Amino acid sequence: MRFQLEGLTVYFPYEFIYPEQYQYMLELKHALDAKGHCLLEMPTGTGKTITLLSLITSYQLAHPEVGKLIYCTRTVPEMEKVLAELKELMQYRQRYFEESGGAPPILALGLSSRKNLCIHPKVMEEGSRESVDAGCMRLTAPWVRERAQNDADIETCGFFEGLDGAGPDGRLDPGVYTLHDLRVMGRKRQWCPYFLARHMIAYANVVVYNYQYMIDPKVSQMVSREMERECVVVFDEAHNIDNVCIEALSVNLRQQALDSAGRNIATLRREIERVKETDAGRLKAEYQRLLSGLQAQGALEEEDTQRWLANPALPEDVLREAVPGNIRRAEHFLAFLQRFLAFLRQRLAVTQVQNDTPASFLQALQETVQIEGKTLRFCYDRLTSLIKTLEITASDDFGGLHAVADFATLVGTYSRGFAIITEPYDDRLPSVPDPVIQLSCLDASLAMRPIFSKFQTVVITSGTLSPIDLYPRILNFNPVCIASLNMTLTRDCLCPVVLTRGGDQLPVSTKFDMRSDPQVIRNYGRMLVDLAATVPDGIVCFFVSYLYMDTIVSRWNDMGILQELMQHKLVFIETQDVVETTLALDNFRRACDCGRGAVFFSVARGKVAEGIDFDRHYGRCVVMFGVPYQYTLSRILRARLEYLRETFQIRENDYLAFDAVRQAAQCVGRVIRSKADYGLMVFADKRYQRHDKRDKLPAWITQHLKDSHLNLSTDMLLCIAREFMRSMAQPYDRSAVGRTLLSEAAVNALDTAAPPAAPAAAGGASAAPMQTD
Amino acid sequence: MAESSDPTLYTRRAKRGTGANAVEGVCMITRSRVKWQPSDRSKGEAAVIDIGAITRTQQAPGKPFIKLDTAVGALVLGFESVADRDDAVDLLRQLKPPAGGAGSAAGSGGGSAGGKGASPGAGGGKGAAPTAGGKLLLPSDTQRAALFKADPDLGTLYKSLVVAGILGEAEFWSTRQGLLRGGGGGGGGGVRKQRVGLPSAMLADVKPSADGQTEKVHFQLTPEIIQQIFTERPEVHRAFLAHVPHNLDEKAFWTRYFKQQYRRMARRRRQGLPMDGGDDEDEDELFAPFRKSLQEQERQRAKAEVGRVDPTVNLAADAGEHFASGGFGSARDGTRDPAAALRSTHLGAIARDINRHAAVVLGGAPDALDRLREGSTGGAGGGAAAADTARIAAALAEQQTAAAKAAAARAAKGKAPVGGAAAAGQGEAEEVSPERLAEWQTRAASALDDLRLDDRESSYMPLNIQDPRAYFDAGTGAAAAAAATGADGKLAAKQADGSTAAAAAAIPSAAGTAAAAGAGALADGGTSALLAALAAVQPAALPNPPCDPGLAEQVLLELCQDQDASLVQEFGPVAAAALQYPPHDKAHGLLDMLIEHFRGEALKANELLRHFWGNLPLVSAARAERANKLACALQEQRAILVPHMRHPAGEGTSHQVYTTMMLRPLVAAIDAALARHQAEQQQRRKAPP
Repeated sequence: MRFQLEGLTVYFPYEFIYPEQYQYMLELKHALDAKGHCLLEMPTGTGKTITLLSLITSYQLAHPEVGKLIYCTRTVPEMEKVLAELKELMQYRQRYFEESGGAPPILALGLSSRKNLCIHPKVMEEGSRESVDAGCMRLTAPWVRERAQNDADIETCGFFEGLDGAGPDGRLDPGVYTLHDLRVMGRKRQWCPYFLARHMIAYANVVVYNYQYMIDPKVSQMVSREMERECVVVFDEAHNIDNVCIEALSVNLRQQALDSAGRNIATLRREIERVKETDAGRLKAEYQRLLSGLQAQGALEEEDTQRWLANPALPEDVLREAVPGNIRRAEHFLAFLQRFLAFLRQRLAVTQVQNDTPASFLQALQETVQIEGKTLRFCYDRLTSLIKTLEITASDDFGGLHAVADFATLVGTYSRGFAIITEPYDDRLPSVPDPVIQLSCLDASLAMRPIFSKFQTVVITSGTLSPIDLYPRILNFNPVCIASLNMTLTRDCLCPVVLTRGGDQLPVSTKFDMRSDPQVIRNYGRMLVDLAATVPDGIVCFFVSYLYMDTIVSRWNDMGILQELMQHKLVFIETQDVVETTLALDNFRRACDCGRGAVFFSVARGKVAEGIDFDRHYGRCVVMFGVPYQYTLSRILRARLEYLRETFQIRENDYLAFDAVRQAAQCVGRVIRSKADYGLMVFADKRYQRHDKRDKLPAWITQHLKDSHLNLSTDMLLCIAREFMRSMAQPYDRSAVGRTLLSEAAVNALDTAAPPAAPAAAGGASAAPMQTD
Repeated sequence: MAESSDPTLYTRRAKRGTGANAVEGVCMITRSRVKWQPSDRSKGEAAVIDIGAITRTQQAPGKPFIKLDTAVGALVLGFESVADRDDAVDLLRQLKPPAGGAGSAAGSGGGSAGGKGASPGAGGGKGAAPTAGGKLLLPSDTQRAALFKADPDLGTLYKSLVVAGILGEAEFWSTRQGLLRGGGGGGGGGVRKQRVGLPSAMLADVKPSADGQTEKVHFQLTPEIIQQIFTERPEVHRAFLAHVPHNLDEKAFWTRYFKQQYRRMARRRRQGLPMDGGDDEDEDELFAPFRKSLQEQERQRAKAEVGRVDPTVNLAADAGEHFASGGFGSARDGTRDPAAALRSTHLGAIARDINRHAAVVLGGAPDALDRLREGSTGGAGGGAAAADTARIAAALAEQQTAAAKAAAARAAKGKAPVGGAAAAGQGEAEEVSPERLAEWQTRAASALDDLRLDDRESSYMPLNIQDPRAYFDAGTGAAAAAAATGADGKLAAKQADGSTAAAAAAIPSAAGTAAAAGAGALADGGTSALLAALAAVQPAALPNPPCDPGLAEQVLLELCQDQDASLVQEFGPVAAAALQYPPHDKAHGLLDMLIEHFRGEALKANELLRHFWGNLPLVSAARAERANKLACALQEQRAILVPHMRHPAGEGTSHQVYTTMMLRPLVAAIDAALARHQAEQQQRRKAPP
């Protein structure tokens, strides 16, 4: 449909629109008009993604001055979904432009790492992201290509050369390109898809990529640096954004990393000796460049092909001044690293936990090895420059030294918002010595700050952002729009229930003192077996942790519960091995497709909970076993909680409950993707009955949580499940559903009726002229 | 016993049982039972089995044995010769109540001419929907010849439709894809067998049973369990093939296997939480080397498979987005599981087993076991177990090598078009078919289906029968006449449009003849009583009974007696048939050649109709054009059929009545199609695309 939204022509790829989607568009448009940031919560299953895409692409069409849409997703599967929906939207939009000779061309593409895009037959076989990067660099670094021109024996990448040879012709036609499309295109034209995508970002209207390309300074400076200020940045499924920010600025160093760093230094030393003998001028030139500052003189300006990870500190924190004299010469820099490494080694050899602030760490550093913070700050860039000068391509071998340099730069740069925690072993496994120095970022706003200041509109959205006022505080920004939208439903296609007791009326919980009680485990198992016998098609189970899932699966296996479960449905289990999990997921879908039905065991906070939908028959029921608290004794978590309390006055228990409940809500929300969809959501823990948990659930769950469903035992649950499944499986009356849908005419009427300034009351949509078919 | 109503069809000498202690006796087969009586009553008891209760029949190739499985037990009989045995098997096969209507779809010849016409192969093939592969298969010349030989009707149909240019080659075969696919494997008209599914239960995880008195535990193995163990744990399979029976006998092999399993289970249970992680050391050296070599293969296979997974569930691609080395991010923030690495070898094993089991179940039963089951003899007796296991193992191995070969061939094929650059790599060349891509795309983008205008509803015509009488009479000439008047009215508008003028012009003429025929038939019976009866019927409010019984009787009498006295004399029941009583023998009195002719015409008309309805609704120009062509062909078909309904011998003769009875449904079906075509065209013209 095409409709007017306060003067903006919006193209929406369906014949109807939910009132909340309309409202969402209004909010979004206001934020875009005001050139400010916004924070929007809309229940899962109301088509957030397509609403966002539809409004922003329509806005781009009407206001060419708006830059790209940069759509950040948490996982690659989500990226694929966004691109698929965008494809659909573009196809649909075409019909409105037929008389005017086709829609204005749009280029949209997904960007991923070389690991996902490389098509070079040898390099793509490498195992990890780092090794693919290194493999690529070995074939495409400028000095390698230079040498290859004189020496036919040196191997280069045919795809990269193909793209390079195509010159200005090496570009993509307008269209929407998924990763698969890019690879196919690359194979067809013999062009490297990775560099093609990197190159085409500058011309694209929509770019979809992972959070880290925007948030993580190590990566974002390579990719997102040239993005213009007018871009619209969207963080979808952003309920975990604070954790992503914190991860991006944290480093941990284990013994292994330090050992490898030591070996790296030795390698560099040898290289320097070699270069000194063959080509001393190169080192001298580098010295000259360093004399006048790293970035000012373009010491770090480099071609795409040999980019190492960029500086881990944020752009404005990287000083534009001359590199301190004591690390300008290569040998001196290595000696400096050696000393720093020795200090870290000494630090790591602790028998007790040690907590430091950056200031106290620097002080100790100064006292022990006479290194000062300012020098540390340059460590990372100095290392990059040296490696470049020495023409080293094996980036994957230098991981250890990189981590050390990262650590140094971060410690040297930030004096607040970080903690340095040294632990000799993990508390949960005291018998296994595993010392680690952790530089942990405590303040999520640090990583977000440059994004908020650089881009004019940043949209943070998710299905679960409640309590919504918390996010502006922990991310430290001032949104022009904050809205939490409700879901309008004609039929109760959500059925959240709280299971507190098992079949024998004993309470069930994953509380620490109860979780290994055989009776609780048995009750959980019986409930699942009975549910599997009742609920058709797919069931998804989420456990609080891998550890708990492994334990309970093993116990169920011994008790014979697993065998019983398999009488009803096939069972699939998420493991830590991603390949196996992927295949399990694929098989799970096939089992649901062919009607056999299946159960998927997964873990809250795991990869599956984050990015895989179990919509329609893939998930008719979801069971959340327990409350997914973090491991609360973790020192990093403690430090963070303390920081939150001091800085934002957020109480520890509140934060922990908030965090656990948002994970649970996220998990159960996986089963609803539209209003025609339906799903039973079982919160299986007696603690969900309590107010402090329930209050933190998002409104779209609590408003369907009936009082009579708050304290169920297994048999009552089964009654409700049967009832629910039977009533939902009936063909629904479309005219009744029609009441919660707006047709094109209704939307346009809504727009003319409401004065442009005041947002139309879509919540009261039932009052507006409604569409029934 | 009630032998009189159940005559014995077959009697042969047969022994019960095999080997030395077989008992001599006689086997008798009646229509519903198999009986065996011992010659010497003291030596054995007689046995009676209902044929319907036989679940499985097994016979040993080359030996005169038969085994009849029932729910209560098995009856093993040994005949004097293989020929005797085969006779019995044939008879049983005939007598066994049919399980599914394999050939039921075949009889399409306007309800005429007995069921033997179409071969069962054709019937089975029609049921099969075009498979997901979606590529249209066209038969090679030899294949086509074989198919025609197996089913002559198909040949004539092909000649009259494709050779005559009414249908395209592809159109014709598109509805018979099942035939072609099945034929490819079985070599000549073999119907593709549906693959057998596996139960979801995890058999391979055998639980021991203890007798409670001794320390011993017992494991029970059945061929199904063995087969599942072999497919789910390939290392056991390999070990079995390598070691049994040269190094170990079978019993020792399984003892070792279960010892290992038991140790592992006991350990897990003892510790509750297996933290020590030293799982691999108790790995039996029997399996370990195979496990190691298989791991690499498995990894390769998994990698290839991940490439073919829907990208919206591809977590492996997501892993490629993150750094593998642990240096970045926080190490111990509570979300990570410190013991995961330790556990992964040990407890992960359960998860891996379960996932593997589910994958195997989804894959379906390997054909090997099936074949095994069919081929195996029931007569082998006690020594069968060892041989069975070996046979299962061998069959599985054979199947696996065949599958591997096929995969290799596919990979090579996939590689070929990509050319030199990719040849160096694995055969990964994005072997995702466009259909799957489209499926992924729609799956990912179709979440909000309820926002779409539901045009499914508008694409169907509602079934709305306001006047049931008129509806059910629609097939008769009277209704055709009514339709024809309607069509006539529309004709004027139609003829203005030049493009479809030819098709449109054909319709009224045909309808007109039909109307004339129908009206003629009625007019002949137009005596006063009939008219009175018709006048008494008020369609709007039919009383119950619908008309005065006395009056009805009068009409019947009049029709039967006065109208054509000779007819009624000669063919009492036929006259009744003309009054729409169900006829007993429709073909009575017609020449075989004529019936054969009608059958051919009916097959042809049905084929045309199928294609015609397949083209509705006329949403595209191509479809409309095809429908037009088919409508013309249908017109012609109708023109062939209708004259038969008016026999030169005159109205009301038996010949004419029979012919009309036989052809009327067909003509009515054609009329309905033509009327629909007319309506569609009208609509199309009204609403420009």
